[in-house]
Amino acid sequence: MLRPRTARAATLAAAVSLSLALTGCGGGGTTQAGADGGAMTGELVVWHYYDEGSGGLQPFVKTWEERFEKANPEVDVKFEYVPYDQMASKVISAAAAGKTADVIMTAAPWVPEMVKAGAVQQIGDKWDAFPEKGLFPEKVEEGGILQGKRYAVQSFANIEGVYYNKTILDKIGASVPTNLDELEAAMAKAAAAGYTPFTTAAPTGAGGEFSAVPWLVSAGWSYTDADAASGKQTLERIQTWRDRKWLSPNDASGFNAGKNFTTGRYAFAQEGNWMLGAFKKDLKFEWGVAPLAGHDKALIGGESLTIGGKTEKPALAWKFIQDTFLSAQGGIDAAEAGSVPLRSDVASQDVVTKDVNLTAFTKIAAASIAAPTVPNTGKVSDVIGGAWNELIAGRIDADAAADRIAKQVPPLLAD
Amino acid sequence: MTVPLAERSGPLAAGDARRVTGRPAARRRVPSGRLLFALPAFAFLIVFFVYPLGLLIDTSVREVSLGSAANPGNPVVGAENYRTVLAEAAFREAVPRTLIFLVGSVALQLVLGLCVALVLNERFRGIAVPRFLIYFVWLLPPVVSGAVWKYALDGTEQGAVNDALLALGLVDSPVLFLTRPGVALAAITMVTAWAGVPFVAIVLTAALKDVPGELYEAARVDGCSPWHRFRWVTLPSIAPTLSILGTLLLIYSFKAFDYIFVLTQGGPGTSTSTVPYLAYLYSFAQFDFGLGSAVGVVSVLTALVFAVPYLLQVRKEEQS
Repeated sequence: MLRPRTARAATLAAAVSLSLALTGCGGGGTTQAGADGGAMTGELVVWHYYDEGSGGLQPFVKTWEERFEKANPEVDVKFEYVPYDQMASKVISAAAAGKTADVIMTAAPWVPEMVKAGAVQQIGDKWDAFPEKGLFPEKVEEGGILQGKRYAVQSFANIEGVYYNKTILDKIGASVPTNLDELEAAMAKAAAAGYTPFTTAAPTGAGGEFSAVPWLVSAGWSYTDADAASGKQTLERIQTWRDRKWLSPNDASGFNAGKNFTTGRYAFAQEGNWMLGAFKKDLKFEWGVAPLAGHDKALIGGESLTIGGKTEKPALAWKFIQDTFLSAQGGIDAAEAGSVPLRSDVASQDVVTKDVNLTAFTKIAAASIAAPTVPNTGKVSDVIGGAWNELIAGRIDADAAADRIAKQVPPLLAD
Repeated sequence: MTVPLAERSGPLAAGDARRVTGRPAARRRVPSGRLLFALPAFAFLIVFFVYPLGLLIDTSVREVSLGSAANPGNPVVGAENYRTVLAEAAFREAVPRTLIFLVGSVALQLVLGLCVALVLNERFRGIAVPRFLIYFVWLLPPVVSGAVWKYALDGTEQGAVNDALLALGLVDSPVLFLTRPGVALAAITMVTAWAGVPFVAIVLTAALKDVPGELYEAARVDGCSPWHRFRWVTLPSIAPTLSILGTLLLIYSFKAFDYIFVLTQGGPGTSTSTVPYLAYLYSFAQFDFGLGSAVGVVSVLTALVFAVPYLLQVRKEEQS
């Protein structure tokens, strides 16, 4: 089973404005070893959390290692796996012991605490000297900045969209929906025909934020306007789906949407772009990504890379990030794995533009938002994810969920 | 009945002296050389029990986040963490939930374990099969069996249990075992009990084998029915074991973490979070180590409440 947890980490970005029309110049810039940048040879340790649940992203580990070692024979890249849930504590405890990995894969909620513990270092000067930084959407990369200082960079985005089962839609005489009313009409027909109309993810804890926010922001809600009436109305709509038993019964028990959709008994699934590769390979029915008004914005996720606070080879670490993660080839790798590349020169290549489903995701990404980068980012995720989980599970109703979000999010953003 | 001292063999125990004189026996000085042999055990206890416990208590009165966890001298907030915990709805709801879980889990383990033990105590062809199954379940790591149960209890027709219930016509639609709050707690209780039954059965089987056969013979001669033999011979004979086992199960069940983590992660919301599980949530989901440690201290104190009767029973057993 594919678990999309790697993509569920909220991004460091503030917002995405993918400029698909832009085509930047190529060419790889490489950093020369600075006098204080440490050795440019020897072992380079990279901590990552890509595992079998990361779908098409997992092979990156081998690809990047081989590619970088081939170009730099004097370097021995060591990828070391750290479970996603343990990455933050591992990095911070390692920093306390005086030794971190050279390169660290991270997610937004952890960055403030990592910075506080001195577990990651500023990379603003390196980013500023990066000749291709202009190819990355400025607003996205602003996300790696905490209190005016840059600590991380992002190269591709992960978001959620609504997949449809075309085979079921054909059987029930429904067309691919373009708005929520059409979606509900199709769901009603699917239910009447004995199919489960919809499946999403509402796990216990923070994970549900990634599925809740697309509906909320598409309706006009925002983190800074958390008590917006549109938020409550949206949750009431979701409650209606729940009460009509249009949602899968196991949605509140984990990340089951992809697995459910694969069975062919679900008309729609809210899932991430990271499932594109697996769906292309595994699904035995016709399917696609619906261009759905009402779910045309999402919460941007995806990994960021940063340099360990205690590394003795910051220059080599940056060279690795630049030559793999931030490179044009790295962007193509990400696109082939189903992720939305942020480099404008990659976003305009065939690997993206000729894939109608990936293109649908890039359109959503262009209008999407990111979780706020504040010290309480993780707690904000807990509040929204928790309310979503309990709403889908039937433990609370939409009023209570909206009320909780409206009351608890603003103080967390202000702290 | 007290056996006269003169008729007993073996060294005189402290308890014997107390019974004879009515006063505790004078403590003999232990040669200091012998104490050296106890040093490794003392060192082990201090490093792995006393120090972590001290650290837990110390953290519980400080404000400690993930970023500052490794820093010395985090600000002391006194009893603030405890006040916060006691004021939290999640904690107040977790207390009765933990009690329900404990009572349900322990009762199921004892009743089912005794039933299985009575079967295992019999001699019949094929007894090796249930014995093997019991040991097999006992040896399964909780994470493995928990993952299997998670799939079995899936709330769709893909779940094996729901598939069976639907096929048998016992339900019209899948039961939401893991996502309906009350049902999820019952499911966790049953899975935890399922995992504990083999241990209970193995211990009780050993206890049953110690029941003198003459007692059953005498009961049969007196015309006792099987139920009466069970009620008036078996149960009184294994009562001390049941008592100690029950206390141990209370402690084990109170500490239960694996199945809650694997099956529901304490959810939906916090509807299957027990008090000790809340300590995990505060510490490793919210990274508020001060709050998590405060719940941890409360959990340790609660476990001590269960442990004291156990220790008293053990002491009583030793003395008798």
